[in-house]
Formats: sequence, C-alpha cells, structure tokens
Amino acid sequence: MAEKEPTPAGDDPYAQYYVVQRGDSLSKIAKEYYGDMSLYPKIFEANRDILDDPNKIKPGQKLRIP
Amino acid sequence: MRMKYLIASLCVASLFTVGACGNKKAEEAKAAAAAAAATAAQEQAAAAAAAQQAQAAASAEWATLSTDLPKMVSAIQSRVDILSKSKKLPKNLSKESFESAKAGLAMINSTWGEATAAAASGNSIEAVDKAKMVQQKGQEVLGLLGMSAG
Repeated sequence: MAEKEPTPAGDDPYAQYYVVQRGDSLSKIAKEYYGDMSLYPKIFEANRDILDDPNKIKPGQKLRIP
Repeated sequence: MRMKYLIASLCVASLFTVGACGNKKAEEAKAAAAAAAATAAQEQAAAAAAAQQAQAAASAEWATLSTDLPKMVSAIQSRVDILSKSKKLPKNLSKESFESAKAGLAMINSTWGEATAAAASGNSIEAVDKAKMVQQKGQEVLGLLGMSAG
C-alpha cells in the first residue's frame, strides 16, 4: 500500500487523493480508507473520469478518495 | 438731585456692561455648542465610515469563505456518509473519534445554516463570525477523520 496523500490538490483543497501503487486494487484502497473493502464502488464512482473499470487501475493514477 | 442722577447713570452703565457680558457668554456658549455638534457629527461620520469599512471587509471575507467552506463541509459529509456504511472503521479511526466527527458535522451544518442566513439578511459580519466557527470545527473534524492536509 502506497502512502496516503492527503495533500490538497486541484480546485478542491479538501479533497483527499491517493496515488496508485503496484499491487493496489480499489478494494484494498477502500479497506485502507474506509475499513471496508466492499465500499470500493465509492472510490470508483468518484473517479469515473479516469477509470472505466473498477478492476483496472494503474500505478501512478491519482485517485480522489471521497 | 445730583446724587440721584449719578446713581441712575451708574445703573445704566452697569446694566449695559452686564448685557454685553451676557451676550458674549451666550455667543461663547453658542460657539461651544456648535463645536461640540461638529465634533459629534465628525465622530458619527467616522463611526459610520468605520462600520461601512468593516462591513465591506466582512463582505469580501464572506465571499471567500462562502466559496471555500461548502467544499470542506461536502468533503466531511461525504466521508462520514461512507464511513457510516462501513462494517468496520479504518484502523486509524476509533469509534469515539468517529462519533466526535459526526457530532462535529452536525454542529457544522447547523452553524453553516446560521451563517448563510446572516449573509442573506445582509449581516456579513455575523456571517463571517459563524463561518469562522465552521472553519475551525471543520479543521478539527478533518483531523479526526484523518483527512487533514499536512
């Protein structure tokens, strides 16, 4: 699991972001941030502008964590 | 007879002097009153100008806060809503902290409502005061939820 990146970015200074690392999955990220893997669709929906498939995330992608 | 005339003359002279003195005092009093009125008017104008300046500064500050804070409230609301659906909280968030965050969010929503109502009624100074309370509480809640920057 990569480091969290709570640093504000973009237009919204309160949005929290996470940079995908090798071996990550949305469910793994959901577990880290929400404590529950089954909540991964929340992250997917918040990043539909850069994600087409919740099972396909790439290292380096910067995901917004709602 | 001559003595009587002398006394009468003195009286007239005396009356004249008193009258002149009286007029002078009245004029001085009038001038003092006018000066006091002018000072009061100046103070009133200065106070009005200061109040107007404070209101203008508050309006400008409100413009910034009213753009910025809804993003903060929205971010907190979103995270609280998601965490409320979680079967288990993340390891860096205790149940107590989450409960505090939820209570903080309730206070934020309530105070933000008061702030926007004050702004809508033209009271930017009160709106800014309330907004700053929201900002402070919001930072605290962001910290509780592990969403703080830096």
